[in-house]
Amino acid sequence: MPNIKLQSSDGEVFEVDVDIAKCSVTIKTMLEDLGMDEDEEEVVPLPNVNSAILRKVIQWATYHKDDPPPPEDDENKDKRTDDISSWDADFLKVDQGTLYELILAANYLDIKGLLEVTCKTVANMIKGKTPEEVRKTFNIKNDFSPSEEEQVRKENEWCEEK
Amino acid sequence: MENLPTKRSYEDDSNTPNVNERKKHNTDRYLTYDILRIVFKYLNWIDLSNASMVCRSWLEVANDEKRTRGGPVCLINWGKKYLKVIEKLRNKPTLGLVFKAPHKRNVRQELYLLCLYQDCLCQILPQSCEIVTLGTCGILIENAEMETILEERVCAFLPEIPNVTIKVIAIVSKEDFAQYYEQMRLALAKHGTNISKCLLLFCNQAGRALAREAAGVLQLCNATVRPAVWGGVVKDLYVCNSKNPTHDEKCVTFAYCIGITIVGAVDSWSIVMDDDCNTKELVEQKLESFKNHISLRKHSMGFMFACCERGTNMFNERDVETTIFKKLFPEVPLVGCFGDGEFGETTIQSTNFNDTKEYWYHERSTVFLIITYG
Repeated sequence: MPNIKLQSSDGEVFEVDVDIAKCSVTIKTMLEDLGMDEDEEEVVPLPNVNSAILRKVIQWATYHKDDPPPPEDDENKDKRTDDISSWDADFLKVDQGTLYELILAANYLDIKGLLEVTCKTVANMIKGKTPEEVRKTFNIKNDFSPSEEEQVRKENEWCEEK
Repeated sequence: MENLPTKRSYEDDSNTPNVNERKKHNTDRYLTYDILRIVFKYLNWIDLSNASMVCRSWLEVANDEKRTRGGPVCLINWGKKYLKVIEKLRNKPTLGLVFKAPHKRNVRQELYLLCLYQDCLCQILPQSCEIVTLGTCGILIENAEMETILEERVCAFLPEIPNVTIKVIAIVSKEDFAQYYEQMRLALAKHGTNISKCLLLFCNQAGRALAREAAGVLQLCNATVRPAVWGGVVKDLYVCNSKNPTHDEKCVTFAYCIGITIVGAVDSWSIVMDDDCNTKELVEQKLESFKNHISLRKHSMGFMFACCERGTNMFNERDVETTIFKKLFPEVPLVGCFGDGEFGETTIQSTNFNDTKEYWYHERSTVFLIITYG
């Protein structure tokens, strides 16, 4: 298998199997658009991803290299979040900062499967919590004015007692 | 990523010098509009509503996500686990149809009622949601027909649909019943070029004569623009009256006959598989020509009401009619039940069928209804 070299924002170079790197749609298009030959010793710069995160992303992509492509989104389908595999769950046992960085990297590199599983993990951190508990979990400031808050509460009255 | 609006960012961190400080306090930098749109897709209605109360930017994302949700919700659920129902709701329901599987014969009526009170979905659904409960001879969901005694119930929820009026008219006493026919007639009497009409009609054994009379009256009044008609005779029929303060102790009220009218910006079609339509091939043939007359919109919902003499009794095989429906309409969720007498109208015109002049009341038949909107 030919390898390509990926360079993180802090200058570290990772040598990766091309097929694994191509699970990133961004890298795949980059290779196609730039006509980068797989034999060439060129380095693909990834200025938005640091080495710690890139290492994790490569680890994830290597494990999932044989996965079938994720199905298309369907609004009417039941969106489950309890179907995260145990390998992914372990992989995502990281601090919140790393989880966010992984989401940003998955989004930038356009890796649908990784983006999905990281977003599911965030969804699980919201589920079953009151608005105040969510604010605490995510360090979010309540920026509603009292009258706005009253208005939103009213609109969601049904949900509050549950 | 598909169809997300242009990227927006809520960050305003130019005045925060310390990067770590910024990371700690500015989740917005990471949980951007686009990312939150993906995250929120995984939330049910309750969690999504709670998320909308977190802060202004989350409110905006939650509202945009809510606007994309309008599909019906169907589920099968066991005994008293209503929390499971709430978990599955992806939007705010406006009509809930509950099909209860047959219960054991030795359960006393009072106990059964008590169980219904304790179990009524009005305790977890919004006040504005109408709930109709059918005690059936068997329930069905997707391609599974269950004609035995079970603890299960199948629930179907329709959300608020723009420009659609849903009315539940329950005949709870045999006195002065004509006023209810009038209410049903009025609910169906809206005229307009794009107005589609649909009538769901149910009754219990004691209300059969009433319901047949109602069907006769409504059929005469709707001779020109024929509504889609679906329903039948079940063992028990209840409507939840929790909205009515005089009934606040007993939310579940027994009814002889219930008419549900769905009028407005939905398309609906119904078809009757009559007594003669009694083989797999005939059912498939008829449903295929039904399919050819139908164009599905964004959200659809299928309903099936079958005579208890059909199912395994007729086909010597399980799940025949549901399987054919799901084969032809794989994207349409299907719910329904078995009963003893059906209401239905074949609303599509085809030279293959000569039953267009028939009454709405049938026996040994299966009636299908498809509602589609959005």
